[in-house]
Amino acid sequence: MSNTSKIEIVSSQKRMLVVLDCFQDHQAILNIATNLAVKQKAEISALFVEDVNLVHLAGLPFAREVDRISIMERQMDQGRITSAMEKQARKIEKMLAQLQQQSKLQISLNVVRGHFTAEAMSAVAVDLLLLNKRGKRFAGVPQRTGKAYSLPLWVLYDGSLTAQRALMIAGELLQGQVLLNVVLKVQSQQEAAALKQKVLEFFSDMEVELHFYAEAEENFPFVLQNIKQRGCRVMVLGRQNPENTSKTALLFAEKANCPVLVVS
Amino acid sequence: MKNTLLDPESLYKTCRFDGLEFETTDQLEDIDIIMGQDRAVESIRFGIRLAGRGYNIFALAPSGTGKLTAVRELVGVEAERQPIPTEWCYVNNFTQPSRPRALEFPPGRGKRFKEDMAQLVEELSIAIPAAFNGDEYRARTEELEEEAKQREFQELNKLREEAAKEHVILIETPTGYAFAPVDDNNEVINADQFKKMSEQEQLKIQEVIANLQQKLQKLLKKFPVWRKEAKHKLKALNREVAELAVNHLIEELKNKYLDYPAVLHYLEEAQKYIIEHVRDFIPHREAALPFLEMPVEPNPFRHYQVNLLVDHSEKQAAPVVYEDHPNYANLLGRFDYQAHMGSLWTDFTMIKPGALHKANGGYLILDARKLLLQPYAWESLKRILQSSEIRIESLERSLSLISTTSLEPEQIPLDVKIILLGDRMLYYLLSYYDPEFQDLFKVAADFDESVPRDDSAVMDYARFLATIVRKEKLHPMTQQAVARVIEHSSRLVGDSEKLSTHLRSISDLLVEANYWAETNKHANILLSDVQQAIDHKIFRSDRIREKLYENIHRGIVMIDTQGKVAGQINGLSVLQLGEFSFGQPSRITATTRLGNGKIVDIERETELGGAIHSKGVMILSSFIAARYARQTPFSMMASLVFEQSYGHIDGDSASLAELCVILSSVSQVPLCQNLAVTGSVNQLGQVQPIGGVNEKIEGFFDICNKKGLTGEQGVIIPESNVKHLMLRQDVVHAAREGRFHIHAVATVDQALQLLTQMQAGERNAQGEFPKDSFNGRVDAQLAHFTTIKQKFLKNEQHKQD
Repeated sequence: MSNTSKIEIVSSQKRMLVVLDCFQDHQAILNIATNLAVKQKAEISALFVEDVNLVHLAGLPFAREVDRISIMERQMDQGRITSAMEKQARKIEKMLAQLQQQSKLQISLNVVRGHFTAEAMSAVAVDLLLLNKRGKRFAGVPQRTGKAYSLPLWVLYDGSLTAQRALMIAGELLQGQVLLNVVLKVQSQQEAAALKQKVLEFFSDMEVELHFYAEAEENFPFVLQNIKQRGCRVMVLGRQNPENTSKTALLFAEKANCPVLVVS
Repeated sequence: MKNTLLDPESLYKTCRFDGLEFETTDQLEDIDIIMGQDRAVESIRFGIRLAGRGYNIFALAPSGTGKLTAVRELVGVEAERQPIPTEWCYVNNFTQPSRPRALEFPPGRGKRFKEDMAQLVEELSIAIPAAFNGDEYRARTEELEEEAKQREFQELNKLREEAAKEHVILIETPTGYAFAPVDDNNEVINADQFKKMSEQEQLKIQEVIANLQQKLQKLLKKFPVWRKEAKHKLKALNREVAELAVNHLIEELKNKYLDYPAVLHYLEEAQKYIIEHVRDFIPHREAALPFLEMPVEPNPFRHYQVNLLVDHSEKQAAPVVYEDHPNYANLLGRFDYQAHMGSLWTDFTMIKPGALHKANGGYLILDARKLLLQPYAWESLKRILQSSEIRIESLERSLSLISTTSLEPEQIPLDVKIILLGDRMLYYLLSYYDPEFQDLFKVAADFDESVPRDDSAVMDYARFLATIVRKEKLHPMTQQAVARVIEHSSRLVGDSEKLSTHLRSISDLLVEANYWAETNKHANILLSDVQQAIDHKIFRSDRIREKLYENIHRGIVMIDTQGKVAGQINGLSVLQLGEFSFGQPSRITATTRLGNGKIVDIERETELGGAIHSKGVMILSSFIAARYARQTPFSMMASLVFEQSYGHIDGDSASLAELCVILSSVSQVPLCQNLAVTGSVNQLGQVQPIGGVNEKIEGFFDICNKKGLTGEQGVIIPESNVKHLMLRQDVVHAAREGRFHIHAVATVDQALQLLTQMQAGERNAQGEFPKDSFNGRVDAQLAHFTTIKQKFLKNEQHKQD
């Protein structure tokens, strides 16, 4: 018998928190969230975070912005910014209502004003945390895009219990895809081999093509480079202590500009 | 009196095979299907061998004479002696795609070039992606990409750092970037906090932010320039990699075509184009390679395809092409169009060859009538023959029927011999009305519809029939059946001394006889089967004849076949209904009275008579005047009519009958109604031949036969028509038994003697006819008319005095 036994998340009603910022188009990520929630029989709580810094800035009398496309300077208007964020919130609400009707899931939406990271990481009693935040971009440089479902799935595995859950969730998220990129967070070659073996055993009864990336450094430079090249539908990782989890999740969200799913 | 009654043997010329004994056609050898057409054959041979400009051929003959078969056979033989022509391909013109290039190759080489190009594309499809997917290329592109990104990122970071020193951060807004002042916790200060600041602090913050924003704007403006630079670098890299993958493959191909400068030139252009459009060879995967745009195109490799118009690789001889539907496109070629994104487009791969391309270097056979019926086809063919170049043009475009992308492909030199097939009328019309026709079709090959029926021809004809039997896979024919077909062949041309060369009629007869042989369960085609085929063909077509004869029999159409009547005669005409013709007896009547020498042709007066008919009437008028009123005024007026005729009539074959009936009316000598008359007369009273003699005799025979043959009935025909007699067996049989009589006459007097049973009479030394002769009676009556007229004129003069 394998020493990596399959884990059942014992809970009658799981909860998934989807944290959304005011910059992204969220349709793709909400679709992923809904599909996963259906499989996990989870309820979805969507949290739309209005960037407080943006609101404060817009309130300043001299606030001006430089347009991303035209490079022209223009006045920042608090009313316009607030209205844009409200519009975004309404759009999300509409999407969620549609998804609820289709999936019959329990879906709720909260709109808060604050800092994205703080709001996301403050969530407690959450089984699955899905972050969708736009990372720092080069002005106007096109990002690696593609149809959400054609991009590969990534999972971070360090051998912990939550990482094993992350593997299981990643397996569910494959949705017909056969390629799964597994990032092994290790300190040595031996450790990498052992973890790889565990992952192989975990997926032994599934038709999955596994690509392994061993990474020792905390800021994952090698993995980030590969994600940039190959694209990423979603990065799945297990929740560790809040500080580490927050750091890793934000690293992938901002540097790789991909959605991050944190599994508790 | 000369015996005019014809011997039954002269009514039908039986076929005999002297010196050629055979039981069935199996024992006969094949013969050249072009029989008795020496003139036409020699003309065609002359035309196809003479290479001069404009020595194209027009083969003249009615349809069904087998001229196509003959021409094909002759041209086929000649084509085997000619070299296989070169092949032509259309390829892309990389600098002007709307003007595809034409490349010429020796036979078979075009196909190889097409395969070579396809092979090249296949190899490039592997080599190019391999080169661009290699680690080295990937590393270099990533390096360039990263370099470009880092340049922007670093410059932005510098600005961020500069801002941070002033407690300002760069934040992203939904539509751009903005600088915001922050507190010690790195939180953006709000409006309340800002208000609490001193005016000096507020001004400083504003100044700092304004300064930073200016710098940001300056920086962002540099980004497109940097990106362009990066793009150029990437392009140069792509070109370098592409050249490495492409050049050696194309050079290899160029070495194969060193002897073809045009091909080398094309390959050089292709090489440049491939390097410039290397993206075509990269599989379409989104963002597979940085900065390589992937346009949506159905098949990018089509640029390198070879459109081989005509493949001669399997040919053993020069091409012989018969275009059955010679419209503009089928003749000159066309462009096909494809719908793409709601509009029509075309390119060199959609150029379709026409018959001229296929026949180039060989022979093209066309039906002249079909060609002339197709809009623009004739004019285009002439233009091409004059320029000796094939230029494909979109007819739809020149007629403004479509307004979309079109092509102007390079012209292809033309070296073809055209053979037009058509009837004589068409040839003469073209010669007369088309000034270019004689320049372009200098050779006329005139096919004869008949050949002389001598012993040698009969033997050849038997072999000709045997050849058709084998070609059509029919049952063998017995000797008697062959003889019957040969006899029928003479009947088809209406001449016992000729044989028909109308291949279709003969071939159809054999096929139908074969059907009857099979129906009758005969192993061979027998004489009875041939006769059944002839009879059944007549049966299928003779509904009108049957109705007409029925009307005569019922007395609706009045034709007397017995008795004697003055001023009334049975004339004979022929009705042609499709391929079937039959004789129709008509009653011709004449009335005469005192007059001024005019003969009124009622048919002409009512515009139902044609010019030739009128000419015949004028001739007989002249004859009467010359014979009977040489020294006295011609004081008679006559009216002439075809009774119960309601349609147009023409021809002079009734002029003998008309002359006889007028003279009968003048003399009041009755004419025998048991005889029918056909023949034309000249001014000297000689009887001249007419057409359709067999049908006319049979027509009157059928009427008499239906009413009951009395043994007195018969037909008077011109003596010169005797050689044309090939009468039906029942007519010949009746003549042999003396129940029906055919008289052949050479003069009017002979006909009159038969019709009146009186001596015609000749002028004596004093110039007078015997009083009791027919001519004497006519002469006396005309003299009487003259006396009355003179008296009348005297009285009139006296009254006036």
